[in-house]
Amino acid sequence: MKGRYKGGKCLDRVQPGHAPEPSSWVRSQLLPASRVIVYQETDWELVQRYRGGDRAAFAELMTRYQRPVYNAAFGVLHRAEDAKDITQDVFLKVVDRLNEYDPKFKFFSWIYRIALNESFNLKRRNNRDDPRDVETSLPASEGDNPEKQVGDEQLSQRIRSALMRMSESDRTVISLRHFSECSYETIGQILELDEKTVKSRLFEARQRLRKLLAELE
Amino acid sequence: MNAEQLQLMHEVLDGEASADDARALDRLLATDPEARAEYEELRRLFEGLNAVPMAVPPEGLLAETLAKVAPQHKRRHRLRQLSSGWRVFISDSRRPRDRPRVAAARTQHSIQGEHNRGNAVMSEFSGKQRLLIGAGVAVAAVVVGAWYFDVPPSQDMSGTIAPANRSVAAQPGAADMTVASQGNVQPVPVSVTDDASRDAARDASRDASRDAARDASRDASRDAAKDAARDASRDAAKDAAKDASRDASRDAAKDAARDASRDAAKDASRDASRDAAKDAARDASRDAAKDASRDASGDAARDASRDASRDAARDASPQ
Repeated sequence: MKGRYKGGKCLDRVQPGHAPEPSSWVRSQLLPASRVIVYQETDWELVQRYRGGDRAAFAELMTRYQRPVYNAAFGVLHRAEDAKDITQDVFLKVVDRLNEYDPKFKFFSWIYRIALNESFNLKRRNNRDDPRDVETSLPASEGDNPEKQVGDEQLSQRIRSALMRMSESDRTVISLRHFSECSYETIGQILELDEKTVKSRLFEARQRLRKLLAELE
Repeated sequence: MNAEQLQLMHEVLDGEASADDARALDRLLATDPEARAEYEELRRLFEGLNAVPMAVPPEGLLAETLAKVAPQHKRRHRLRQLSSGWRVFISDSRRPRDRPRVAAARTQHSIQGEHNRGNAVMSEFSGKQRLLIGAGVAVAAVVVGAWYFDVPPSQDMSGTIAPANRSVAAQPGAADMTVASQGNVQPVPVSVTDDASRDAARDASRDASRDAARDASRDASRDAAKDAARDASRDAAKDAAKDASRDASRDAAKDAARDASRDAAKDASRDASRDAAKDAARDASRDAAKDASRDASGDAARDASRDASRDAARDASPQ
């Protein structure tokens, strides 16, 4: 099966658009999602090529996943420098452990899990209280008109602030679903949870987020 | 609105609900304004979450990381090359040539298995593998030695062991000797020693050529076998990967097409039957109304006519 991938996101599910009307749901299942890029080579093919000595294959894997890995680390550590170090460590570990990768699972799940573990380990080791880089390197949102853009950015800012107040577990599950666009199945693989638990954790985390956003208004 | 319905909204907005569940939500939203408001609020939250931009990794992170990965890559690749000769030799000698996929899988398994055991050169082989390789080399040495020294002899032999007399030639006798003073001194040919040297040289040359030819032939066949095995293994792996990929894509495409057409057919059928039912109901009610109206007017006209005639008759009759 060909892997589906959109610049730095875990697109292993049908893209429903941001928030589809229920009545258009069936149609959205049938139509190809325009945001999805289908790559010629799957992650597994690239892994095989790299094992065969092709360095370019690893560069391709890194291009695909450096952004989600960096974001996973940034989501836990909130420091750009630490996130950068973790991203490098993750890819060096991937080279070392490539033979441990089981193609039954998605490459993204495997690498994201390494990223989370490395980030939590560093956080435990550091245990520092210096200020967080909340606004580091966030691209401007793409809007149709300036007013909407300002509104979107304000909402994004409020959501980010609310997420910072949430537990690590809530933030991780929301990040995986909304920022990395992972399916319930992939989130389950990464967090080693069954899909039912993923569903209920996401539901509860988003309900808590709604309350926090209401408080921030 | 209960928690189950709220959870259903989350699933639909996540794109993870089944078609039946999505239709159930459709029905709920069509009838319940409170549910509609809740759904709208959730939809805005999902839009906001999906619009939060991801952090961008710093410039040069990719190049910097790839530069750090390069030495590890070289080391790993060198180790693979060191071990690949043995691996190809072993796997190739075990498999029949007409089963490339199995062989490719076995080779891959071998690659994974070996790499799991560590990074040092010798740890590329386990103790058992090293034992097998050593035993193989020893057996090969014995076989080559036996062939070289012709042990056991290739044909039956019998006779008496006697001193070799290849270098013993006829010696000059008294008749061959003359006194110098007799004045007819002739050079005596020393053909005896010449023959011996020539024989020895010929033997040595023949042995050397035979050895050289044998060595060259053995090396050439070993190299050719190694190359052929490596090429066959690489081609088999490539073919297997290509086949697997093609089969997977074809199956996926077939499944997707089948699912899509089934769903489309189901939807079309549902829509058609809903429309047909709607049309039938509309026609039925229109016809019923028409009939009722016609009947009503007929009755009314009849009643009016009857009443009018009765009244007229009553009026006409003498009091």
